[in-house]
Amino acid sequence: MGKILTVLLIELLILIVSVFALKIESTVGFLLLLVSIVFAIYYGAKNEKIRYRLQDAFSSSRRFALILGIILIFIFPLFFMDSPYWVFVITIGVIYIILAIGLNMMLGSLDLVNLGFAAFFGIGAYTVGMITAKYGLHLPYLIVLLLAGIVAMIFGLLLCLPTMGMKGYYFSLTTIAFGLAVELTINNLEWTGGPGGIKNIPHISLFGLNLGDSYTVFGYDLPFQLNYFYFALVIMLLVMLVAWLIHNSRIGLSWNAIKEDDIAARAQGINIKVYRIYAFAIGSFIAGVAGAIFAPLMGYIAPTNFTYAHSITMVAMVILGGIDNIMGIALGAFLLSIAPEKFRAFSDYRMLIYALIIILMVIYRPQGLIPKKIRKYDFIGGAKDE
Amino acid sequence: MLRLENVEVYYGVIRALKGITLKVEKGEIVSLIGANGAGKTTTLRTISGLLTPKSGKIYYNDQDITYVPPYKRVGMGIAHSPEGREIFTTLTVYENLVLGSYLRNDREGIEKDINWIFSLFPRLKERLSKPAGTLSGGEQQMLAIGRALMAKPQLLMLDEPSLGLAPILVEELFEVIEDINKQGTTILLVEQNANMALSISQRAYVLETGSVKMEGDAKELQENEDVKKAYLGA
Repeated sequence: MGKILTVLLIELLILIVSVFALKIESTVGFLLLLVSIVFAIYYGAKNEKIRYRLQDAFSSSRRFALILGIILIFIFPLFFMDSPYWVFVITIGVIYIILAIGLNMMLGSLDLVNLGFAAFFGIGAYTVGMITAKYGLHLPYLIVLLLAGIVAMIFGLLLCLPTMGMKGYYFSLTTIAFGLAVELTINNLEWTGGPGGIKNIPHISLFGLNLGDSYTVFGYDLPFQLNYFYFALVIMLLVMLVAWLIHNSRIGLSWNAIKEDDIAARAQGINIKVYRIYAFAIGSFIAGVAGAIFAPLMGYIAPTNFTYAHSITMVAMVILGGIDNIMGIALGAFLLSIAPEKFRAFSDYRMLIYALIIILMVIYRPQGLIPKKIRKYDFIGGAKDE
Repeated sequence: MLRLENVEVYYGVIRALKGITLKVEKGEIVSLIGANGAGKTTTLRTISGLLTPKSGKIYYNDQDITYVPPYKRVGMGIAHSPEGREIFTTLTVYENLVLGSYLRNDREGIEKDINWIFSLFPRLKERLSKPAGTLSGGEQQMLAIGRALMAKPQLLMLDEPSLGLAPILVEELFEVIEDINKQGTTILLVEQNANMALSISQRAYVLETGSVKMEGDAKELQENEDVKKAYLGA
């Protein structure tokens, strides 16, 4: 019982602190809060007794911790009913979590530093924009979502095949070129709307609900952004589930084996080409899906939404959060998508502070905020993660 | 079981193997001995398919496998425990063993073999869920051999299994290798420790700068004056 109480208190504390962190108006106050959070985590992790108690509490009531966590995430945006803008920012954060998890399949699991990942995000978003706004086709949204994923996946495979034998800088350079090529093509093609992008992308309508509408629940008028938040959240949880299953399957293990030593992996009988194709296919599909939520939420997309800087940000999210750890990646993606909003007061220096955080992280905590965990096994061939 | 005919392998323009011809019969332990750079490791890598010969043929169970990709050769029963114990250091001992059984689907057989490997190397069992990088050199070597055995190979190729091990561990290890052979696995052994290798082998090949210089019965080679002088330190 004490353990469940510990989990409950810790998760409520995280919720309250996060709400407070977003609500706080003063930048100095926010920075102070940030510093005290870092200190609390640092000393908490250093103190054996506290760390052991927390680990014990969370590992013995995992299901409770998970369900409570999901419930709290569902409640989270309700604290921002007075400002739809924050609900919007949080929703973008969720979309970036989806993206970062997709990117991790290449970057984290296989050590393929893809610096053009925003291209797949853009391709997904543009697929939706073209279908729904430019050609005005009235397909069910879930079909459009699937198409966005598939088109992004096709481009993923287009990038995968010629780069098959590449590693390290060569691979990264090629992905930069790919990202720029996609961005410039979209920018210069009349068919895709050029620099003006695509306007008036209709809202998602799902099972008779229009996500662009404001619904009234118990007398409260909810901002339409909230609909998108919940939709993105459901997709995010699905993507997390799939990523977790893959990570603990033969595919995840084989990816990690190839990442560490591709010669040794081949000597075990692993067909490394096939696994590379899996990583590209699944990763770019997920990015396409994220694009398909992004486009109707924004209503207007342009090439400037999918630049090299966006690709770099996604890489930073995975590295900051923790390579190959889904919770870590989610945390990293969320922090880095919220941070620029909080640092608005610094205006021109915003990107500088952003860069500083990343540099400090890489120096002092290269394994990320929540590092990769060792898989736990309880029977042959299957894995359970703690 | 395995036959190499005039196999030539190049690293770029350098001819590393200058026409190697050798054979391994079912149930044997065959050693490849020779100095550094003689082409022993290259020969094993060519047999497991990590290198492709420029000319010559490789036959396995009378089937031409010269251009068969490595992952298929593992499925045919050729396992390779590479030099310098290329184990996956960030993955656990258990995961390394599971990866060894990558191409197998018989869960019961896999479980049985893991237990067999733990009986061969009890120390691995104690370290089951530790990252392999935290093991000592000797334990890593055991893991590399154990991982190769998890493929349930017909032909097990061991590259320098004694490298960097304490003498007492080397003796233990060679006993295990003999044991593995007695349980039906054919072994192709590459060793710097020629004396040790010859003492457990039936036949051996002496390699020198990419070609076979001598071959024959292991005991006879052990007595051969040239071999003694060059490789046995007598």
